Amino acid sequence: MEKGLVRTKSVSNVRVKNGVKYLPIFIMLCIFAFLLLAPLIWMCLGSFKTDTEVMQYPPKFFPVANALAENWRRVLSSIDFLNLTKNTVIYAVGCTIPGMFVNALAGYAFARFEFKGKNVLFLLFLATMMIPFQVIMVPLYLEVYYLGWLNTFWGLIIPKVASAYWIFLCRSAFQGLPKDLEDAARIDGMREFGIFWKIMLPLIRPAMITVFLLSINNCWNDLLWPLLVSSATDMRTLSNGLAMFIGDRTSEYSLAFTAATVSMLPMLVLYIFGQKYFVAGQATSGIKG
Amino acid sequence: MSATGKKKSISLEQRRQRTAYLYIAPAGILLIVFCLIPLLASFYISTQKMGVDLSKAKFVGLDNYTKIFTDRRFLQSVTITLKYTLVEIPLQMVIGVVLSALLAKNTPWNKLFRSIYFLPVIASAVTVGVTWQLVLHSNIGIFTYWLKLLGFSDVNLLNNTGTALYVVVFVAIWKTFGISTIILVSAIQNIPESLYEASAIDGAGKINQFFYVTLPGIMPSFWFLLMTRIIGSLQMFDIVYTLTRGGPSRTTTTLVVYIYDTAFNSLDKMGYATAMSEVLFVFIMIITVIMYAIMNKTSDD
Repeated sequence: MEKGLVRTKSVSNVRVKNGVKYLPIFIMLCIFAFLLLAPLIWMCLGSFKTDTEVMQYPPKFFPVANALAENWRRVLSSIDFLNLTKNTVIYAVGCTIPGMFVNALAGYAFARFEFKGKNVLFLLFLATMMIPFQVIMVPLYLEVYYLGWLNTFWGLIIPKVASAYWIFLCRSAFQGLPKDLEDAARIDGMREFGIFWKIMLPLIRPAMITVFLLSINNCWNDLLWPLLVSSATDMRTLSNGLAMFIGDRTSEYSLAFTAATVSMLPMLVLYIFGQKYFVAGQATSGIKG
Repeated sequence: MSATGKKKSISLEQRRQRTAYLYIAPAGILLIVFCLIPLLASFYISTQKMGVDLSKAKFVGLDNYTKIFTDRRFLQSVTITLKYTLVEIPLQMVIGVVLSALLAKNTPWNKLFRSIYFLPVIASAVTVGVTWQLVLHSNIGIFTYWLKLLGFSDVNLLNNTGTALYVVVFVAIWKTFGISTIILVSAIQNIPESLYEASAIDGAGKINQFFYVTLPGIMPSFWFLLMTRIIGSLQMFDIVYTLTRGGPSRTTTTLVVYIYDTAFNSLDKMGYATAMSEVLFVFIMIITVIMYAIMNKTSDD
């Protein structure tokens, strides 16, 4: 009892001492955070500024006027922003939802079934993670070209649906579930697919949310693949569309500010609500090594 | 009776096998068609002089490969990529290790810092490229202005052949160090508390604990992170493309940017570009094998 008391006291002493020692570090972390956020905040604030305000010297951090509505109107009229957004949403959702299904299904089979050639197949799947994209970039482009899928959603989506990385993530999640669950369901006479769909899949919800968010984020930010297969003006996604737009008219700065801000907003919302899943996804990818 | 029972159980087993294959099939077929077949095709393509029009493809044997090593632009882009990697990796890893050690405890402030530091990770390369182009713009850029206030003159970092690559390094670290920090934080959190308590009893201070408990404890994650970061650096494309497009005067044209330009901005060099990417592939494989060997050795110790 007494020992416990002494211990708490010493711990709180340590805490106070650490608190003082920690202050310089804390200030450093704050400065670091500010330098990190400053460009993003300045960009957001830039979308409120008029062109003349942006061009003023010295540059100001905070906007004076509020030209957000005007900037928005110009973004919408000068690039087909709504169409770019629509394409990006179709690409992201079209990739992610079927991807979650086929990858979870494969991960489930690898986690819960015994079958011939399982290890060889799994290694083969893992090996696809090792192939750098630029090695298969040209053949994949030709494949899509000769399928007649260039500048179609098929070409953009189908090659990106299956991913060994998500299969791996789902497999790990399924491996953590107790065996009794499926046995009980099997004894109750449930069909195999029912066991997967109604019992097992809902149990790995956190992993599925992680896959969902990371996959949406990957597609939303993907640059190289849309650059290759959907370069026609009406098929561009936000990534390659804005890259072109910025390249074409570097002088319309407030438009650049606005477009960049708006294209990031949906991801920001996803991040704010699903932060722990983003973090979990990164953490698992680190542990698997 | 027992024979029929056995027969039935075999067919159940077979049914489960069939189910497993059925479940793997969709993802498997997609991976074969859009990953493994392109990989095999890439070896063939690398022996061709060809563009998009396959009927005009011409077999050139290993000419593409021999040409690579006399291609000045290839050697230049390899040098740039290596320089980029050699600067980026140590900085990235040091920042990651230090920040993760400082932020490992789950206090509210630490959580806040971690989520702020992770924020650029979710931004697209285009957003990042545009933002930094504007932030570092020679006239309107806010950082340019701040640097001038600090006494630097003629700040034009992105258009200066001497500094552009370092700007790319800086922006790449800015965008990705949140990942390193998060991965190492979770590695530190997995170190048993008892190790820290034991070392505290032995009289180890915070600094000693960092070197004798934390660092050895995070080594497996550290090596894994180092490997993925090196592989990522060698494949640098997005940020260069959106920030500098390889300029000024090609000083930021990394290997993958050069491969991309060669394949898609000229008519008959797809084979040549693919040959270059095979060379990169082999290089990445060698690094992976070496890193795995080191990783296995450190985890044996």
